[in-house]
Amino acid sequence: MVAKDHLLASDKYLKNNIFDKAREEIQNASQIDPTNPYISAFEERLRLFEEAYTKQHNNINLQAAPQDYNAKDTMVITRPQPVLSVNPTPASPIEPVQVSSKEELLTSTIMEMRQQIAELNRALKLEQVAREEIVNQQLEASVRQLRSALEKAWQFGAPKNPEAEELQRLVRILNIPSEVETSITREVKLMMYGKAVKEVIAKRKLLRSSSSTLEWLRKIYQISINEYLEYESHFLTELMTSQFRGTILFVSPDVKLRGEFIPRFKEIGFAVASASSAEEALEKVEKLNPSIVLCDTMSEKGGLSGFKFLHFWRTRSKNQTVPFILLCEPSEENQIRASELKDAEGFIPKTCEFDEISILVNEKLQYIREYIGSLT
Amino acid sequence: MSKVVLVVDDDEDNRDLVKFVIARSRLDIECVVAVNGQEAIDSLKIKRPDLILMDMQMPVMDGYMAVSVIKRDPLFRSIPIVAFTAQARPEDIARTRSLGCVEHYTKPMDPEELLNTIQKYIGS
Repeated sequence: MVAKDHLLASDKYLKNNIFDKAREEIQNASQIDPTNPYISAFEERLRLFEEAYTKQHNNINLQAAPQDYNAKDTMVITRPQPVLSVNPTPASPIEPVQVSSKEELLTSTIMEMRQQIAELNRALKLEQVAREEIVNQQLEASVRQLRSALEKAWQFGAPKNPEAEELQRLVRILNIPSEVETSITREVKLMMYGKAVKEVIAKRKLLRSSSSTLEWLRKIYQISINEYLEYESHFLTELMTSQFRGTILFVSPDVKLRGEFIPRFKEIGFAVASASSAEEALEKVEKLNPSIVLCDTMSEKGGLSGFKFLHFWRTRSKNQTVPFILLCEPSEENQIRASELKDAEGFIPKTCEFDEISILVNEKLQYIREYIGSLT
Repeated sequence: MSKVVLVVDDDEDNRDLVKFVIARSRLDIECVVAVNGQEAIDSLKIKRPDLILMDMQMPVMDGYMAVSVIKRDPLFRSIPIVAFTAQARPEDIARTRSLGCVEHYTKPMDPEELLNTIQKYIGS
């Protein structure tokens, strides 16, 4: 064997990190040809490879221990590729040996490991997000199931004991947090109450008193006053959304009555013009084109009464499509009944609650809307 | 076992409202409906009610006739009948009482009052 063959063998051993054998082969080459210029280069190469190998092993041991990697998570450390290139064939020109400094090698190894750690962190975050998503999806499905059970149970009011117990059992099975359960129950309860209110309002003409019926429903659906007040505007808005709103001409000499009702009509979306007498109202009518007239039967001394104003109102053909509601004293009800009011006309005692007056206003407007619709 | 209330009224809204109120009472009551007196009499043979809410003004056969037919039938005369009507003059009340109605309930209805009346006669 010539020195070249020993150096080639040494190269193979180096690539496989078998340093003793590599050293042996270099020594053999040295014995055969001590003046061979490659021998010192191979010795230097061997030293660098040994150092890099030792450093790498130390790093792996230091980093693996605190992170507690499992066997399956073992990091794959890429063995550093030889940075020295040797062409030991004496016949061919020898390429210069490229030797990286120790710091560069170390830096590249650390960079590589940092990159691997960053990738692991990214993978962990992705897994965490995926797990959270699964948990959320499971919770959503449970909430949907509970909501459906609640809607069934609350359809006709607060559930009876056996139903309530069944719901509690379901909550436990679905593992729904109590605050979530409370919130959904409240939501469903108010929704069911809202639906019942709508149904009742649609049949209000068959009811003795809308307000006492709503009070009864509040009890049936266990709606507290606070809950009602909290959701009052929502209920009213919902009730009124399908209703026609327009301008009300409110005629009454009673300042207190006007002050009580006008702001409330405005709150629910009506424009309101007020007049303290029928004469003043007639003046305003020319400019206003009201959608409906609410007129007190009482008048100031010497003025037109509500009844006379109504008769005058009827004589003008353009008023046929403007409903007229008399606000009367309870003692006048029989007199008004006998006066054969038309469909677009109505009456209500002034002592009634605002809700009842508002309902009658909407009813008359709805009638006119349907009447006009039938003409077109 | 649930009690049966027969609601006899030609007005669908009225029937629906009574059903609405009874459903929300959470009482164990089954609501059966008929649109006139004749249909009410026919339905008695299919399902015997524990109480009848009878409107008096109806087409085909009015409530007055239906009540007198039911009260003449030994099989059904014990069923309590509540006159359920908008007529509230003393003579109207006297007439329904004389026919054998246990009570004269004047429309428009009040849910709580109606439920009290129903409970009074079915003891649910």
